Amino acid sequence: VNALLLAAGALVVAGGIAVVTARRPAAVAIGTFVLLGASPLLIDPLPPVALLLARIVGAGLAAELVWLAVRGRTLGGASPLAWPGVSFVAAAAFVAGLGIGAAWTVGVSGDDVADVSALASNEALAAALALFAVVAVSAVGRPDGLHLAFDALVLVVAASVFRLALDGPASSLETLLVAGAEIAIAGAAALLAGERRPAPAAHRIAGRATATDASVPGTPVGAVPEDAAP
Amino acid sequence: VTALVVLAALGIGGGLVAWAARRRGGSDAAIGIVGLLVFAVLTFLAPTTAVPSAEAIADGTLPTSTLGGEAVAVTAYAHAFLLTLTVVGLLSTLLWAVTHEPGDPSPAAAFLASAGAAALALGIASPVPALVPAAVAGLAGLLAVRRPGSAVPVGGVAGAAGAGAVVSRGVDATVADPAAGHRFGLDVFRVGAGLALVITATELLIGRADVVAGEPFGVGAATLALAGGAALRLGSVPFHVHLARLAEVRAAAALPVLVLWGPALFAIVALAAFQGAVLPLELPLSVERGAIAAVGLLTIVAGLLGALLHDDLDHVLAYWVLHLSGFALFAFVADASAWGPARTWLLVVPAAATALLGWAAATASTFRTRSLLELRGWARRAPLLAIGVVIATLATFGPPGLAAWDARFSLVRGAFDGPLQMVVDALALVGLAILGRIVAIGVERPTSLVADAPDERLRRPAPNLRRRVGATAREYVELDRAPIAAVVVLALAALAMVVGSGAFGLAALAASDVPTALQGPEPVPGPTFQPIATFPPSPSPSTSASPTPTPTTRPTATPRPTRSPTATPRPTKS
Repeated sequence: VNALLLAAGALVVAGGIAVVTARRPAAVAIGTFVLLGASPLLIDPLPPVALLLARIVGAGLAAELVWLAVRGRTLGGASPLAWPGVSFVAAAAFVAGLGIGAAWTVGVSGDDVADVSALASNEALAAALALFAVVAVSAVGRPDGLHLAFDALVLVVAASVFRLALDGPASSLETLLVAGAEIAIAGAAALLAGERRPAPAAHRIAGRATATDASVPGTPVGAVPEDAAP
Repeated sequence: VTALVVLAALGIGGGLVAWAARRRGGSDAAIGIVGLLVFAVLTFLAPTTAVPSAEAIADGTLPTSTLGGEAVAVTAYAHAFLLTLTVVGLLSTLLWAVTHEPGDPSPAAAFLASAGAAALALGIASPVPALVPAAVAGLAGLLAVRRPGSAVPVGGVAGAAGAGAVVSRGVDATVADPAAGHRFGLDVFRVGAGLALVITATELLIGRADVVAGEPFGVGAATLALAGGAALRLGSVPFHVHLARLAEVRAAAALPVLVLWGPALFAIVALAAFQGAVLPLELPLSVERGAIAAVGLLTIVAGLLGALLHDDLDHVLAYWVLHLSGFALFAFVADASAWGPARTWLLVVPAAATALLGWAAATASTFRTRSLLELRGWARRAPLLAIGVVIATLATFGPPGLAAWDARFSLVRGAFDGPLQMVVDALALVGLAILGRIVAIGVERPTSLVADAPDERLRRPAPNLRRRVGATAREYVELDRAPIAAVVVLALAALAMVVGSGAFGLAALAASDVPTALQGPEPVPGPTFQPIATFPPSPSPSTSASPTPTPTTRPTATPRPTRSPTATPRPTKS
């Protein structure tokens, strides 16, 4: 096991968990950046610097789109589990992925077969399985439209990482296309987030929200939007 | 390569510019129309090439254009697809101009961006990278969606205090129509899930680990995942409700790209992956093929019943589209001969269904209702619209011998044989009952709502020499919305008929460029799958505290599997 790849895999999974469970907009945006920015690092040797930079710039753009969409809002999170629970599920899937990778890469004792890697990256396989598990947990929680788009983002990253694990580094064009798809989904999430509106005058005077959407069960009372201040 | 890059950049860039113009209060429709016109001209002028086979690329026997490490080609079929898409986009934008309500965005940006992504998806020879732009092409439909919460009258709690203030389950609670946000979000999720399913399944089949190649169960599961990804995008059973729900949202401009062109393009590329990764293995996969055929059949029946039983125009159209797209799933059951018919069908259906959606939009705009019960007599009042819906429907049938007819029944023949084939053939023909029902309602005695609606005669504004030309044109459009919309619907239907009839050799174009066996990376010499080694049994006798110790026998070691799957070359299909 390569420690650096393992760390990159853990980063990617942590980013995925943040995207689907975080309630703070900044955490969602940072999670998006980490998820998208660290996913191309899951292979040894690393892709060319230009491609890495392209992916990181793409990750930054996607995170910016997500930030523009969710800033100033209090999010409910998509997952029925809080982040510790999702983390345990993801960790289990991650370890299982490492185990499956080991089964493909290690010869049985006796060694009449070569002890070479059948996968391009065990850690990428582990990260992909963990991300799939994160999305599975999130999707059963009846997420709203915005979080469904976030789930789609995590799914696309999981699929690209899975391909990385089984097929090795992608071509330059495919790398750019995946970055473009991630930006497109982040943009779709931004479109779905709706227009932010200024808080009503009464709220500004009172300094806090007093009304809730009664049609939505479990609406927190007194939640204050971050941009409600005049 | 240059043509492909220019088309992709123009389409995606132009679409985003048009969308941004709307966000800034500009004229997105005009920019979009210009962009679509330029795109159509450039597509027409772009030279066509054949898709190079994997062997030709490896041997260097065929000059291959590469872009970023991928072989690319602008094929003749891509020409036909892109030209149809752009012309349909132009006509849909014209129709939007005379039928839209204030605040509704135009579809031009969505069509333009979708065309750019489609150029990439159809231009990349390898299906796995091509899946990415194919998925994004469907997402482009969101450019024609009014952003939730914008310029929508809100009332009650949301309008007075709730909007933008308190969110519990994400930001949907802030939008005027929370259901719209959820449904579009679900569509984005389906894009991601479909892409993940197809990529994962294809990688399992062709990836370095060679996990499932040669294993019927694994190949079967991967085949189901491939077809499942396409079914998810096409809205097949059991994912069919989403299509009808999406039609309820007021986003008529977005629907053609979201539910027709995007999914059709994705299904084409997924079919290429299926034919390149599954068929060369030459496994029977009877159970899996049967399951996919059953899903296709259920989709056809569910679509037929839904279209015949619903009274809401949007629901009727949604289930009608479902009925038509069900046939495409049969391509994942048949052999390689289904490639041509499937690609023909996946071009005919979006073209014809866009015309049907246009007919629904024009009918609703003219008669101010979407209820079939209130539309009695509509065909008497709007005969041009009636001709349009008949032509659009016949475009998916056509007389025997035309492309649409051959494609539909070739797909059925590829999936079924014997009596079941006759039953499915009959079901395909029963689809005409949907048209029959609509026309039958249209020739009844008109309701007062229909009788009071404007007819299709051209009207002229009162002469006014002091009026500007632009104002006069606007008055013409205002007075003649019904006939103009009917003429545009007729043009959409005629285009669908041209495609459905197989003009310009569409069937031959669709049958060309058959996918070759996909080649993964070079297999490694090691084992592809071995059980994790367990500790050898201890030679010492058991020391367990069993009251009646049984004599321990040394367990015999399980012989290690000697299979070496990667050593077997994957059969290639010529």
